[in-house]
Amino acid sequence: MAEKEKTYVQDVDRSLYDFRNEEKDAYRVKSGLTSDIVEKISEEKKDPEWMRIFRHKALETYNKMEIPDWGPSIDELDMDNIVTYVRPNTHMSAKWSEVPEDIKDTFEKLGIPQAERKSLAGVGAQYDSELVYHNVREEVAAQGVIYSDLEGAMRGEYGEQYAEMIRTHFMKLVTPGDHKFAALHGAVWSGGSFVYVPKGVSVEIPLQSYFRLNAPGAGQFEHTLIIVDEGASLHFIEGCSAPKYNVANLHAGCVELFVGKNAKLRYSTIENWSKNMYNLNTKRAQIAEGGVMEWVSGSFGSHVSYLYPMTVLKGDNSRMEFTGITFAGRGQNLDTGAKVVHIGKNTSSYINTKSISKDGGISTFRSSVVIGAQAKHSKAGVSCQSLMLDEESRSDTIPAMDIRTPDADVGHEAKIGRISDEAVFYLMSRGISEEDARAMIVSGFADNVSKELPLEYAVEMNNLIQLEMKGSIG
Amino acid sequence: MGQGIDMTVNRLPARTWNWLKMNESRLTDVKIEKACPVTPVVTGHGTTWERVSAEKIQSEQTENGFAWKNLVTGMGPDMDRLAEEDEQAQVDVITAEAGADEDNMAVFDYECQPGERYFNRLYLHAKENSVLNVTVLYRSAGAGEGLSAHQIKVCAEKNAVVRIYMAEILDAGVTCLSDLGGVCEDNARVELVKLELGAGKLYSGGEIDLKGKASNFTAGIGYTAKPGQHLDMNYTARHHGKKTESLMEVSGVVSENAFKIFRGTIDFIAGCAGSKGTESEDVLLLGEELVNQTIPLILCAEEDVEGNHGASIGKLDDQTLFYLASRGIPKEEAEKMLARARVDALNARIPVKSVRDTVEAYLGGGDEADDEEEEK
Repeated sequence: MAEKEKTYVQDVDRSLYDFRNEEKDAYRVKSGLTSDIVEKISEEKKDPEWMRIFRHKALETYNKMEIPDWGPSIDELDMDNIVTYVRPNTHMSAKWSEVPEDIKDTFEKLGIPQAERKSLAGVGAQYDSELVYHNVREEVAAQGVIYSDLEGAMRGEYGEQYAEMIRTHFMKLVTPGDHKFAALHGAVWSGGSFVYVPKGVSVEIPLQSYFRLNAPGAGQFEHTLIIVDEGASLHFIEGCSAPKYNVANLHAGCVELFVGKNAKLRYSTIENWSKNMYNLNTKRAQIAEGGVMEWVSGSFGSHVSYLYPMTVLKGDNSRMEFTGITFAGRGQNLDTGAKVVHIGKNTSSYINTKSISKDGGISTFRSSVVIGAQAKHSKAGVSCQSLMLDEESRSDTIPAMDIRTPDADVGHEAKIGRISDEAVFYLMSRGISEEDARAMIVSGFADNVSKELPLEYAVEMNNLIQLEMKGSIG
Repeated sequence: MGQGIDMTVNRLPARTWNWLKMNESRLTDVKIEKACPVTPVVTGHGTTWERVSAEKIQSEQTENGFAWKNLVTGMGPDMDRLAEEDEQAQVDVITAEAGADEDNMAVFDYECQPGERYFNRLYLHAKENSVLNVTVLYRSAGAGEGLSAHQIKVCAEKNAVVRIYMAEILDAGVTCLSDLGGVCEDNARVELVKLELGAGKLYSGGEIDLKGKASNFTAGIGYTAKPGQHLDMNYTARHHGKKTESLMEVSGVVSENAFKIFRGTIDFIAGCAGSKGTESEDVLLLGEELVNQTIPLILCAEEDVEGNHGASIGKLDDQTLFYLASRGIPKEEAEKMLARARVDALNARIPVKSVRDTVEAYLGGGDEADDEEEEK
């Protein structure tokens, strides 16, 4: 008789992401954070004067602010040991052939060039602190869509109107005073993408930016600024990964999204940072009248994560939907969720999340729904489900609601539990082995979120959520 | 009595964003003067009342390690600190012996005088295999400012049942601090019915530690946040024992210019295998300029549990309003009627008629059918 297979839900298979390249960076600032370092980064980036001043003010704010007194501990993150700027030994190119071999190999292993050829309208690839590749399809560019590096656009390399657009939008939604790591970002940000979709333009296939952090002990602080103008639509995909080192790495990126009147933006993220990463990322969207924001978020990597994309439904009849999944395995403390603020009338939001904790992993769902006094006839729904796969793990839900108008309709539900014995019994009564039944249930639990992820990301998703369904759970 | 003290109360068991201002509440310069005079009415065989010095009871510890002073309460340790401000304080202790009458009852009717600042302590001790029923009413003798602070601690020994019925109908000038903490041993049960109806500012908390195997906590909490009123609540069911169960059902109304926060936590501690916890809040919003904050937590360090929470917040749905309108009931009256129904349902569960009637009178309108039923 064949040996019975053990049922065991594997951790995410990280072998694809854990390869490292030899460090051949051209320049890096000293570790730590000082005014001199900020000045040096500003020089390196050839910042306009307003940005140089902005960085220094952000540093002042950073020095005044306290680290959060809620959420996972970040005591082991020592900013004195973090290098905030690492320039790889290359320049940005619009041709993969011009990207240095080792960096190109990295992105090829991650499947980025292939994905671009098959199903993306444009790709940006950042390696450590700089973009090494940026390209957009001709037919998309011909529609007037700008998809470029943020720094070039800020310096007016793609037109003065975009430089002005950046000046009026940069860190206006997420201000340096928001929290300590937003201030840090404001001081040392580097790299990232700028997207402008003109009025009425619908970008049919997605744009994608991929962020890779190779240098040990470094931080990545890319800034993504997307403006989708009136009646336009866009799907933007963001991916990130890093090899694992024994020293802490830090990611404190910032994403600011402006969705115009009757415009639509879907922002999909697969986050698979290595398990030495502190992922303290800030994402925020502001939606004008009739606009639609859709977030799809998968959090699989990082040692510690603080990630709560926020949506401000400013315009009447605007709406948002957040779909997220978090998988916390051994050594991970992932604090994820979403925030929404309803300001406009007849606005609606729906937050739907799933989380899985195993092997001592800690998963926390944290959310806030705020409905202001003016947001008459607004609706909000929050649903979070958590699955515990063993007794070493931990799963918490902390959803907050603050409602300031009687003309609101708010519903919330949350469930925490393990795999139901009844469901297993039902499947077994249909001739399925216990092990397979448990495996199917776990797979099904994750499925309704993963199906929202873009097909173009299927390859990466398959590598990420290797929920090995053979063997037993718990 | 000394100077007033600054207090931090109703701490959320797991903190969240500070900008939400939900993590805790702060009170400044809180002063107490004395206990509100009360003579409880205790009926039923096997149930006793004694008034003992707080100093004495706080120093006591039973053979199995139980000590009243170690009981954690919902409002937190600052309530103990406030209580200690009264050096002459006494504690009312109600004890139910094994075999006590099932329909025993201890009734505490605290009538607060305007201008006074009270702190009362009540300890409930249900010994093994006993049942203990307690009804507590907090009311004002007249309009005026004042403080009514009270703390109830509960010890439910093995197989014991403690039923607590509380109604608070204090005057709008009064600040009320209403604190509860308890522990359940094996197979013990605490049932709480609580109406938060009065006081201009109300801070209320409860925490039950389900320490024993198969112990159980149920709470039915009703509130009406009237115009200008401030309600701040924090309730926790902490599951330590295996196969423990908790059910917290909260229902209330938030009116114009009122503020209300309800924090409800189900905490599954590692080792509480087979436990279940459910919490729900149903809030009816009436009027403008209101603030309703709801934060229901599930903290889970055990795999083999079931935790659920749900919240429904909003105005009356159109379907209900249409149905009532088709029966000739206008919107305003329908809202009033359904708001009242939430409180009435809980008031009907208070077994002491005089207390029920007092609450009815406070709310306006009596219940004649109820009177007739009682007379029979």
